[in-house]
Amino acid sequence: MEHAYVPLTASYITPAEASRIPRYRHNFQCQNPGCRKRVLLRDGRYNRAHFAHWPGVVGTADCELYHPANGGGEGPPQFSRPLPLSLYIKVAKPGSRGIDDWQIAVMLPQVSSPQGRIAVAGIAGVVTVPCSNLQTAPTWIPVPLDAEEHRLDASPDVDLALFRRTAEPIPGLPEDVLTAFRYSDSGGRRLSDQAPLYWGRGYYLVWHTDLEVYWPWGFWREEMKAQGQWRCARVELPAERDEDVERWADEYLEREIEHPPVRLGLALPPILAVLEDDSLLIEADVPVVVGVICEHGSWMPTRLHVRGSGGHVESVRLEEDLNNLIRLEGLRGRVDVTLEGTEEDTASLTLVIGARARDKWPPAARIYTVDAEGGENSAPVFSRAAQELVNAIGAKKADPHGVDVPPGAPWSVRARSGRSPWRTYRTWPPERQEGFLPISPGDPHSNQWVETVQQALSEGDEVWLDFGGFGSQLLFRRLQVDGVIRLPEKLVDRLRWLASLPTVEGDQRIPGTPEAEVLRAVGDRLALGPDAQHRALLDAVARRSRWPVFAAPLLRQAGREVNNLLGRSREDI
Amino acid sequence: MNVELIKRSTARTHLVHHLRLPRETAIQTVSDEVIAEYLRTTLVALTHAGESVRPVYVTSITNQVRTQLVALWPELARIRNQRPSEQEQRREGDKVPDPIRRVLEALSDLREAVHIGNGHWLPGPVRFVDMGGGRVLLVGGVSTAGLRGEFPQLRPEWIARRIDHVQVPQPIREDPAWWQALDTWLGSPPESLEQWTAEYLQHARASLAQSASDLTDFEVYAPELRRRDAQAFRWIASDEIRHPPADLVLCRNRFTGFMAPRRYWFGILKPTNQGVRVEREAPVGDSDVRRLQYGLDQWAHSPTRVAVQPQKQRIILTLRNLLPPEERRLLIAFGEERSKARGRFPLEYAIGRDVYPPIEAKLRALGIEVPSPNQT
Repeated sequence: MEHAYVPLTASYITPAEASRIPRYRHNFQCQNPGCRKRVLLRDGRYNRAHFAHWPGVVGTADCELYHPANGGGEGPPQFSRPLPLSLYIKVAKPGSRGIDDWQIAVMLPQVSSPQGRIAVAGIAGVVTVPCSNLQTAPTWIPVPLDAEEHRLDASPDVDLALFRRTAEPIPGLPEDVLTAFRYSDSGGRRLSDQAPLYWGRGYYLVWHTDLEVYWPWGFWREEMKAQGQWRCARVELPAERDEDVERWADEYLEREIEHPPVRLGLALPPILAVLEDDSLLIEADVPVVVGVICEHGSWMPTRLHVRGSGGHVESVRLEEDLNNLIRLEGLRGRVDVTLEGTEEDTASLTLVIGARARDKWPPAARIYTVDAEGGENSAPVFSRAAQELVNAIGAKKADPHGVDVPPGAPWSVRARSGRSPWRTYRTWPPERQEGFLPISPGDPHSNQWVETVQQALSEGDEVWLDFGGFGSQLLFRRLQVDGVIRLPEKLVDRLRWLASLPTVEGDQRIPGTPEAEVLRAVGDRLALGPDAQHRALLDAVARRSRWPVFAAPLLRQAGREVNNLLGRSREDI
Repeated sequence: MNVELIKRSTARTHLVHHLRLPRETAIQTVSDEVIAEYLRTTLVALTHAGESVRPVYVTSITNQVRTQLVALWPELARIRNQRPSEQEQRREGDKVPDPIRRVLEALSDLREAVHIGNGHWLPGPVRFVDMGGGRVLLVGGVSTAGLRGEFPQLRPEWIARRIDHVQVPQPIREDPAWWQALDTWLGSPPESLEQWTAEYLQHARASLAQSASDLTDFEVYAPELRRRDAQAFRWIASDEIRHPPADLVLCRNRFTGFMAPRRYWFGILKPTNQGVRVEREAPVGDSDVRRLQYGLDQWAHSPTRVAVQPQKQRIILTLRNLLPPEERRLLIAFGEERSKARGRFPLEYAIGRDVYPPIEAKLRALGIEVPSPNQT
């Protein structure tokens, strides 16, 4: 939808206006008076900025602007027109070769899917970029300086969102006005049509030599090397408002100039929660400090007002500094903090003073199993308890039952036999997955994990259950060996050395090493031939739970050798 | 209700007092401890804003923390003329590292904040890691104030939080669901760097593909030619090579800051009239490059060095090269960054003498020359 209703001011707002308001201050409703459900600003990289109903918020039955199939968006996907890709100016950094050199480039954004290729008409001919090159970083393709549109040609298997954007022609550089780009040492993106300029900020301006430009007085400008019929300059607008510069911007850029926004930030205490209405929950009876934050070119407001829940208002006069800090004491209930004298009504905060409840603790990824008696067990993936569950699966004393994974968290299942390379069976989320789905035991995605683990177990001896930053576990399928194994001398030496290590304070558990588990398995279950000394030696190493840190690599090495030995023996037997 | 303007120094003192940070915490410049606390709180507040947990985009976190702290420490303001530069970081260290981004990455190394991909983050679950010797590391994306409600004896040490084993409540001490093994928390670096490098090269040889014919402007990692230099200066331009080796060499595209992002590959070079070009190549993952550089240093008998400066209770390690993630995690957990310009070379870490031996062993396993503290 093209507008949203702002209950605070009882007025309507456009996406361009809303994009200048800090996101935590957004409190918009559906423009349909019969609906008035909460909407959000969607101003991402792919579609033109618009408002949409919040995902999960059901619009009223008579709201023709509510489209649940599109996540509550403006309309079905085919009706929301994507934004074309952006043009950038790329500038050689000071100190590098070709200073003052600049080019205009099309940025091909990073994509997760390696499928397909995109062709761009570059400076020296058509450049074809395989999407596999875009998996790690975006790429900039220099394009000719031209007033003509730039057209891209994407193969049909390119990531859908990117494909739709490449279908939109990128407008060229107009010859009758200046084109403005954001400023950084290395270049920047072209400003969108409606975007204002800000006092005190720098820009790159590009124009055609046929355009005779008048430059206002008191305006910093550094012209760069001309490229054919096109010229470029770095500029910085004055920090103070200047009518001459305003007229110039209106005539040559068709843009307004605004003061950079003033922000009001809660410096102390840290926020406990951002509530539904964007108010900030903070702890009671602690010092509260808010900061008024300006930047070069901002207009410092004159006063700060604090309205308590009883309607009582306290004010303080602000100093003409870039930053002011204000201490608030004796706050109770709900408190509104606002600034007077700002051009926009955006610099305000609502604080809710609450008792400190127990902080919300982040969820862990959990593994669920069912044992032979039908009992359900679960443990966080990172934990030793999960290691025990996984060992039970490997020993066929339990079956995988499901996973509980926080929304967006990844998982993958890999397996191998012996020392062969790992084979990936499945990863989550899939490449074209949008949004963040939680996974809980019993739901289809959890069942998918169970099936994948079972398949991997049937084909590999080692299965790696990975949940990214939430932890991982190695699952060993216990080998059913009833034969007689003789330990090689080298391994016996290693075990002897390990067994000789005295137990001292400072030893630690190394139970997570899968090799320790293998050792234990051998100690527990295998007949080790006639040599009772060897059996006792292996038993001693396998049953010791705490080790000096430096023993870990040797323990692993011994475990690996036993593992290899088992692999070979199984075939022999 | 009382409202008054206060000085910046007064506000900073309030903050250090409120967070119960040690009194010596530097308040003239923003400390990593303060940023870490605000990052943890913000991450939980933003991801738990609705009824269910939702991942949050990195700039939402960093912007929120910046808005909160910038009035107290104006140096945290985003410099609009300087873009946040991932490319520069790949170029062996950012020239102007953003402190908030740097601490977020350190929290990620510590596994307290979890990057789930495409710039989205979740707080990590709370758990304990037994570091041996009665020391326990408490890991998790919950603020120190929030954890102190349950574990009053928790001690912040730089951005990590520690507690003695005996101070962990008995039920938790005995519950394996709360504990992560040190090995799995650290990750498992390969035991033998030499073997890992050999396997990597073997795999690369098997997956070589034809290169583009115009691939002539690149850099080659040549530790044997720059033995005395830090790893960042062991890359030489392809036009300096006269007689290319017959075997694989580690290459990367030249960083111009102009168009192309950094890319690494193993290549077979072929001499041409103008110099050399890449004939065949096999890609190298970004995450493997650091360890590979150490592996290639070892092969070329050109180890890097760290400086060791023993003090009464601590040892100061000075590094001029970046470490692979597993080894870096160990430094963050056991040490405290004391670099003069945080995040920039030379990186200095203060490490307690009692925890120094395993760190020394890990660095030596990377082929780094580490002088014994007794010799220095």
